[in-house]
Amino acid sequence: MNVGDLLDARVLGPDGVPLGVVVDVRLALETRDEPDDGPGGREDREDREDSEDRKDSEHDAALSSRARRDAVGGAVVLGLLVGPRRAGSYHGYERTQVRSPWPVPQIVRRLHRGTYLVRWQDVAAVDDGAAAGAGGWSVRLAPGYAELPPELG
Amino acid sequence: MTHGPRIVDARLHLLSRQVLDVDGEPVSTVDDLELRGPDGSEARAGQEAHVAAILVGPALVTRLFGGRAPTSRMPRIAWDDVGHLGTAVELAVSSDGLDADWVEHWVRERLVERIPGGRHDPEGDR
Repeated sequence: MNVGDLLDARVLGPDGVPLGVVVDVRLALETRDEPDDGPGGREDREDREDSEDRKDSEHDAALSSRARRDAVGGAVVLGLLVGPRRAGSYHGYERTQVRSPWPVPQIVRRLHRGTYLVRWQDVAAVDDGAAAGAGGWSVRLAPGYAELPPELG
Repeated sequence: MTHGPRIVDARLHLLSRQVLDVDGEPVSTVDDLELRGPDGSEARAGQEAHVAAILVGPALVTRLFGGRAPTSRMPRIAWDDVGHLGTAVELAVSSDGLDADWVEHWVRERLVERIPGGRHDPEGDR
């Protein structure tokens, strides 16, 4: 099973009622402390670059310092983001607290209202649709599944 | 040492991101992620699953004509080889040991190197 199989799959309730589509797959990445940026890290690479590349590297490092960059380990599946309609991703505005540039977040959140997170443990079955001839993947939720807030932690 | 997990969404933070090797050389982009069970078995709904590999491949054909390549035909990069995740996925290994960019290696070794001057390293002139 791949993440691509799950994305845009139809989501069915425990009784088979259509609930929407899988908007995204949420993962928990194990992160590691790395005070010296570690072997193979950006600082390590900079040391190996020649002086003509130095400006570019400093520019990259400046960009990187503003963006989050972690040394990561394993990635475990936490759950599925379920949206009531196929509305695309919209760069995650609907899952963050970003408020600008107005009115983009407001419009995107309105398009994505009703999106929720379902824990992976609450997924009862994933069907590729081949047996039933229905075409396309579908996900059936377990009885008693919980609809959790979709915001990223 | 490990600390708290970082929560990410696959489509938002991983898919279509550039993959760089340990030297910062571009390898490919993330086309898909393979999920597996804890013992490497097929991932099952509702049971513990983790990302086992990044699937990459020449996506131009399917992007133009639709459809998708069979998973078995897509080169894979083991998730254990991922070192850092930021705006790009940075590997902890060199791309020379990966099958992910075999097309580029094949073209370099079978075609480009046979063109007069094809073995010249322009970066060596600096």
